[in-house]
Amino acid sequence: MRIRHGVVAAIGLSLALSACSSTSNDNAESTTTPEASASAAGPAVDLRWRTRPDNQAEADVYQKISDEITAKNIGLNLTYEAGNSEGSPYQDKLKTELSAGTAPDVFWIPGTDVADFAKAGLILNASEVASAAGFNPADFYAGPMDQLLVDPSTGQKADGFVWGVPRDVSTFALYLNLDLIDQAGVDDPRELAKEGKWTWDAFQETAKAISDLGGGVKGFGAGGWWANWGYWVNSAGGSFFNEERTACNLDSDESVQGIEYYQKLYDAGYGVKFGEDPEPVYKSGKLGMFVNGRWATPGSREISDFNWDVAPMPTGPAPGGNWQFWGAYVINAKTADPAAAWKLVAELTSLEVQDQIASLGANIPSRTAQEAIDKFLTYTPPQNNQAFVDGITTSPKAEGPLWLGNWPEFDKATGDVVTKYMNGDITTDEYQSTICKVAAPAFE
Amino acid sequence: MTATMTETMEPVPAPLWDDDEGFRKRLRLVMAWHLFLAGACTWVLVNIAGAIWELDSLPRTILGVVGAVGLALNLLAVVLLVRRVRAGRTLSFLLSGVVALAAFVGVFVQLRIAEGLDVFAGAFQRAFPPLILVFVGVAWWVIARRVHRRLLPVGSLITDDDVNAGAVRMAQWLMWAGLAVVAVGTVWWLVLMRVDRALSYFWAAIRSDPVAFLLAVVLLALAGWALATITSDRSARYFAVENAQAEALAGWLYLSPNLLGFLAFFAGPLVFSMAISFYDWDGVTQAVFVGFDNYVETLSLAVAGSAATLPAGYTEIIGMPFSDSVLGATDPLFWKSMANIFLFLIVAVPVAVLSALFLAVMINAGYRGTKAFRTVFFVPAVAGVIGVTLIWKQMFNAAVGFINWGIATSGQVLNTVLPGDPFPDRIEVGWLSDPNVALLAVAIVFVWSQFGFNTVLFTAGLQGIGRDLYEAAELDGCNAWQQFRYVTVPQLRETTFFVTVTTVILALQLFDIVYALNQPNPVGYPDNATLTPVVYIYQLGFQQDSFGRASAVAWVLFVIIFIFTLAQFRMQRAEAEAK
Repeated sequence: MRIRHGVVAAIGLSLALSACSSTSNDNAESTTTPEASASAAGPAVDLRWRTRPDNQAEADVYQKISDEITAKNIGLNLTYEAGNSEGSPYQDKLKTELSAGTAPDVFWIPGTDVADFAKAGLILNASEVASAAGFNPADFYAGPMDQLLVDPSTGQKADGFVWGVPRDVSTFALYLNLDLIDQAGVDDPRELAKEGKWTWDAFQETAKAISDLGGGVKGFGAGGWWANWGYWVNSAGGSFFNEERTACNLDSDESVQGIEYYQKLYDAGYGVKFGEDPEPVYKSGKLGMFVNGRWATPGSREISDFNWDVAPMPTGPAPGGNWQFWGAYVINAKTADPAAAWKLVAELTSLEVQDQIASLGANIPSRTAQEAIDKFLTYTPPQNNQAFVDGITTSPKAEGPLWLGNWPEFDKATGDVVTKYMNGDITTDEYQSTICKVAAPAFE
Repeated sequence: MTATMTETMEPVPAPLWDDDEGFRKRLRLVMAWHLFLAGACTWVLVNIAGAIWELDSLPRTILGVVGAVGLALNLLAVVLLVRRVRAGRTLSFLLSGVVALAAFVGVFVQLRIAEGLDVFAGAFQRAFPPLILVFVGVAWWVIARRVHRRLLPVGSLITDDDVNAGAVRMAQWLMWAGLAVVAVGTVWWLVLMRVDRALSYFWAAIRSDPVAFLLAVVLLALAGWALATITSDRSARYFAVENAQAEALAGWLYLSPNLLGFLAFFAGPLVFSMAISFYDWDGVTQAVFVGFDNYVETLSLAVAGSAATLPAGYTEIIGMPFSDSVLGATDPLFWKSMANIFLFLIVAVPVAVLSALFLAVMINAGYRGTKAFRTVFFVPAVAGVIGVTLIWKQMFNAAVGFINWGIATSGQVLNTVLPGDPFPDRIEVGWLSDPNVALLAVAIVFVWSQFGFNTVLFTAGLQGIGRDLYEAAELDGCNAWQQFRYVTVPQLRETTFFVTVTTVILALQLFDIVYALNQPNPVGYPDNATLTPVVYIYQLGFQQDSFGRASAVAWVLFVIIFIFTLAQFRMQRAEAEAK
């Protein structure tokens, strides 16, 4: 019995002692105590936040940024949670937590998901706290920002709505295997682009010349998801949706012209089979031009077997048309302190933080400031970072949520028909007559 | 256990402990507790019936059922306790247990422990060294205590005159020293874990809704007291509980952690999914009761003269044989997933079973090195499915994958002996991008991941076949094939049945391989060629936010698996009876 009392006493003593030892600092996380914050800016607010890093290096930088914001004594006591690095489980987990009421206060979501989250009441319209904090939407690229200022009832930009702030942007470029281009004896796409001669036809000729090298070498490769074939639709002057984004426009003549051209490139055997992952082919040195976003840069930097750089996407009948990919920091509708959550969003989208992330290679700052662009251009390789800047600034199409429709349903329905078409299972006429019919329920 | 559940409803005759007035008073309080619970249930029902609470249809239904059942059972418990029926004791135990569990969950939620654990999990890694110190201290204390016990057995006394007195004292000091190490380690651990932050976190959580927290704590205390009272020895004597029944109750108590886990994480979600299959629910907003609509939308089929004449909402899924008619469905993707999975069953299950049987027979033949092969064959069973599938994905790559390279190289070898070089230098089968072969790629990975475990099962079955049967067959002049056909196969019937049933069930639940092989394309790629029912459930639930439809498809799949398994059981039984 005495021993049992002893154990109880020891544990009690240890609890008492630990309660008195709360200010010990042994790492960055504990450099700021709630008391210290309180002395600077009132009681520190505990906030959890999450984003999806592209790799472990990015996750580490996000953790560091989180610790630094806490250490700034601005009344935020942050806990960073790294989301899954790839694939949809990030959203699956997030949705489950939102449903259960245990999601973080601030989190990142892809641009295409913003409307669904907002319409379901999962994220906060931060208009009031943003206005109070002097937020200026013009500091960010209009493509993504406008999609975050939408009135869900009309699907149009309106005053009084701020659903979040873009974390970063990205766009497609062609990752070039310079050695294969040299072997094929064709003009360098980077030079052609500078001369304004980097057109669809030039792209086709280059792809053909590289494929003709034989030995399994392919001219170009791209993923099978919507943005890859969508680029050719945009570049032809077509679009996914009508102007108001209330109906499908993939059956317009321009849209069909784009995808038909793209299909013929595959038909001719210039590309890695449609739907196959081209990344292993590119990394094995057997792919001349690899269509991918800025997020492919860290992986490319590991390549030592061949010389590589990036070039802009080829110009089609309509100028520009590259995608402006983006994701946004949004605020949980159930957060206890919206003002503090907005303060965190503002910190996470500051020029300094965006610059830290961009320096790792996978992202482009979402701020339009020249300073941000100038710094981004220095983050090499690739040497030709200007290709990304051109993609973002030359008549881009922002990937966007479908405020008056259901994006996942649209994506699924159209993706199935496009796969059939690209595999040659249906004709162009059948494609044109089907594509918007299957997409129609997404707008009902 | 069974005894408790099947207790008679007859009043207990001639109670032996009639004069336990103290317990009677306590029992009255327990009855009052159940009346209080019945009142709470009534209050819930009144609020729901009077639409005082603005509730969505799903929570209203759930709360209504819980309120009505709770009211009835609590009143029944009171009646049975008054009549001194033993079943009343069991019922009271169950009801108080459920309330205690609910209150515990309430405290858990109010303290935001799940989120708190998430927050403090990050600190655990850096706070690990002190835990080693705590472990050392505990080990030290245990050893010192054993030494102390050996020197001074429990119950014996020692005086200063005893020769062991010094050693006993030393052992005592060593025990205290062990405890001191534990205390130091604990303090260190708590400091590194930032226990002050934890306490302030919990305090903030309590302050956010103190009434709810207090209510949950009071309910937990009351339910705990009721449980202690109803399970006490005096209660057992009062209700003339026999030893077997008392032991049964204790058994239930010991089982309860597992049982509660089963109820919370298996049976609960099962019932919940059944309930929401009757709702239109996106997982977040208001669920709308739609009756059997989700099932109707999933299963509806119609035949028409042509695709154009199908009823509105129907899409052609197949042309009818020997006519121009077409079969249409309201949910063509569900039928596509079913067609895929049955094709998959036909291809993958026989190969997974027969290849395993073949390998098991080889291993059982006792050739040199078979033990090593047995281990090698088992590797797929213990390897992580996702990791292995990602390797397969690389191998399936049309342009640079090993599979196509291997086929092309084999063709080149054959070209050296065949006239006219019939095989091309390169082939580019789109294992993951061609709808015609994508399911085959999934089947290959499935068979590879299954045959190792099946081989072990067959090997175990083969080792159970008596040597004498083979000797008798040999004496009868059977060759090796005949021995296999007439001895091995019949003797392995039960193992084969088990292997087939489990492989079929696993095949019907196919998800992870498809999911990993399809990345970064959408699941079911290409053109839904690899869409399986479980993948479709995932798409409906998590990608289209249609949890009601997803649950309906899940239950349809359950019925199919059940019918399959039942049919296989029946066939096996009929076969056994025929023999």
